[in-house]
Amino acid sequence: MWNSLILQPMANALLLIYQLLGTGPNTFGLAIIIFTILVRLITLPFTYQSMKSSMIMQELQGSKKWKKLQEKYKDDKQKLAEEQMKLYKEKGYNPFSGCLPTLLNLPIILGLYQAIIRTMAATPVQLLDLSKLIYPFTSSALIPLNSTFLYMNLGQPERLALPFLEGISFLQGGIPLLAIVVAVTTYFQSKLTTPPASADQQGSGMMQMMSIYMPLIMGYLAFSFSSGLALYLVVSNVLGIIQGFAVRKLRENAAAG
Amino acid sequence: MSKNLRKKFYLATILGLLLIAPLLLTGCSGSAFAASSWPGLTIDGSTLYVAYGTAIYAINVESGSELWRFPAEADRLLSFYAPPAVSDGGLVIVGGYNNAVYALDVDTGADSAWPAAFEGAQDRIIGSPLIAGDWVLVPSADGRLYAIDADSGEAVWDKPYQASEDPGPLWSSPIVTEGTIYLASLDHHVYAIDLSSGEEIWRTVDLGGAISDSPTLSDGLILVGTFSESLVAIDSEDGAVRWTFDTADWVWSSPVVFDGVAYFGDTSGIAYAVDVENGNELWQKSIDGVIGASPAVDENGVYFVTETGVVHAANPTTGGAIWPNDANLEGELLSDPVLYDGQLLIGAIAQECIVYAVDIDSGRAGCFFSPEGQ
Repeated sequence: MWNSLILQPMANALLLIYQLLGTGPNTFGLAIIIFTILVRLITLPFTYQSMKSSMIMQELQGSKKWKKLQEKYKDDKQKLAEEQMKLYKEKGYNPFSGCLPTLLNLPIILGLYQAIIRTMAATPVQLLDLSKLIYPFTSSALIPLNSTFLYMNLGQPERLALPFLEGISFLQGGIPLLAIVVAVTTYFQSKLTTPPASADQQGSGMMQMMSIYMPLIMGYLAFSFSSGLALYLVVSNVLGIIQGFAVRKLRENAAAG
Repeated sequence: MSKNLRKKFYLATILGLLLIAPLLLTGCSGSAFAASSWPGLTIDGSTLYVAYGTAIYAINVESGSELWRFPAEADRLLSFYAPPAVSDGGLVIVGGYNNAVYALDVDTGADSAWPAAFEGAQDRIIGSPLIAGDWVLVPSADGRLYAIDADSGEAVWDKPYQASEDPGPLWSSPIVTEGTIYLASLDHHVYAIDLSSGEEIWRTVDLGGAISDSPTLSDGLILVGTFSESLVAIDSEDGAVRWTFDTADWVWSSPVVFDGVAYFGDTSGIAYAVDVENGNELWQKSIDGVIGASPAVDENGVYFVTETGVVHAANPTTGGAIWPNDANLEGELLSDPVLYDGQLLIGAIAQECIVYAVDIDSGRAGCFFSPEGQ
C-alpha cells in the first residue's frame, strides 16, 4: 500500500525528471532539487495552513490579553485552559489546525526521501529492490543513476575535503559542510514557526526543546546518511524558510490592511 | 505536571524521535540497518569461506564448524559481502565495503600477509577479487579495476573503464583467459582489457542496460545478463554482439553454461535454458520469487534459488521439477549456491542461519552454519 500509493509514484516521477534532464553528471542532484520544489508546491496548502496556525499562536502568546489571562488565572489551571480556549475561538485558531496539516505532510516528506534513497540504489540489495519499484514504462536504461553532484557522490555521506585540513586527523575526510548547513537551516526554519516559550504550556515548552534538538537530529542524519538526503534537507529547509517569511509577510499585510 | 516529570517527558520524546527518524526515513526497509548485500560464498578444498556483514568466516565444510573469522572482534566500520578469492600461495583475499582489500592467512585468518591492507580504491569492493597469476584483480564501485601484487599488496596498475565522462561502478568480478580480462560494468558495457598493461582492447556497444554480474565465457562467446531484459552473447575477439535473447525482466546474475546450454533466471522469477550456439530458447519455467543468483548445475539438475527462500531443482534437458516439492528456507536467497559432495550450500540474508545445506537428491534442507556471537 505504502509502496504503490506513495513510494512507487514518487520514485518513478524522480526517474522521469532525471531522464528529462539528460542523465549526465549533476543531473540527479538537479532532479532532487526540482522534485523537492515540486513536492513542496503540491503540499503548499497544508504547509501554509500549518504555518499560519503557528503564527497565530505566536501572535496570541505575544498579546496583552494572553498575558493578562496568565496572570489572572495563574493559580487555577482549569479556568486558564477554558479562557484560553475562548481566546482561540475568538481569534479563529484551532489547536489541531497546526498539527493536522503537518501530519498529512509527513508521509509525503517521508516518501520523498525514501524515493531519493531507493532510486540512488548504492548497494546490491537497494538496486534489486529498485527493480520492483520501477514501472514497466520507466526505462531501465537509466539505471544506475549518475550520482555525481558537484564534488559529492550522492550515495555517500558528504565531506568537503580541503587541502589545509590534511594535518588535522579528525577532519582528514573533510568537513561535513552539508550537515552543518542542514542543522543551521533547520534551526532557522523551526525558529520561524515555533511559538515563544510559555512556562505553563507543556506543548509550547516541548516545541522550544524541539527547535534546539531538531537541528541536531537533522544534522546528524545528514552527517551519517547519503548526501542525497542532505541535499534534499537543505532544499526543503530553504523552501520552508522562504515559505515562512512569505506567510509572515502575508499576515503582517493582512493585519495592516 | 511537575518540572522534573516534564523534563523526562521532553527527553523521552526527543529520544523517541532520534530512534524513529532513521527508521521512518529509510521506510523501515532496513536500507540503513539491514544487510547491504547477500553472503558471498567460496569453497576451496574442504573449507568454505563466507563473507557476510561484519566478518569473513572460514568453515570446515565437512563438520560445519567455524575455523576462524576475520576480524576476530566485530568492527561496525567493516563489512564484507564479496566472495573471497583463495590463492595458491595460501592467501584469502577479501574486499570490504570500507574500500579496502585484505590478504588473510588461509590457516589462521590473520591479516598479516601484506604490510598493510590495500586502501587505494575510492569506493566499495562489491565484486569478488580474482587471482590472475601473481596478481589480484579487484573491481571497485569507483569504476576502476585494480591489479595488485599478491605478494606485497601494492598496486601494479589501476585504470578506470568508461564509455562516457564518468566511469560506471564495477560490481562484478572480471574473468581472465589467455592474457585478456573481460570486465562487465554497470555502465552497460563489457570491456576487454590487456592483463599486463590494463589497456582497453575493445568495448562493446551500449548493451541497453546495466550488467551487475560477471561475464561467462563459452566457446569464444561472452555471455552477460543485462537490466535491458536480455541475455547477450558477445564475440570475445572483437566485442560484436552475436545474438540477444529477450527475457521478461532484468537479468541480474551470470548465466551458467553446461553442455552448451546457458542456464539463468530473471527478476520476475522465470528460469531459462538457452542454446549458447544460437540463442534459441530450450525451455523456461516460472519459480516463486526474484532470481538474483546464478544457478548451480550438474549433469542431473539445475538448482535455482530465489529471494523468497525457494530452492528449485529442474531437469537440465526438460526443465521439469526433480524434487516432489521445492525446498523453502528462511531468509532471502540471492547468493550463488555452491555444489559440494551431493549438497547445495546456499547463503541466506537472515539473522541466524546464514548458510543452508540442501541434499540435491531429496531436496531436504537444514541449517549448515549460524555464526555465534553476532
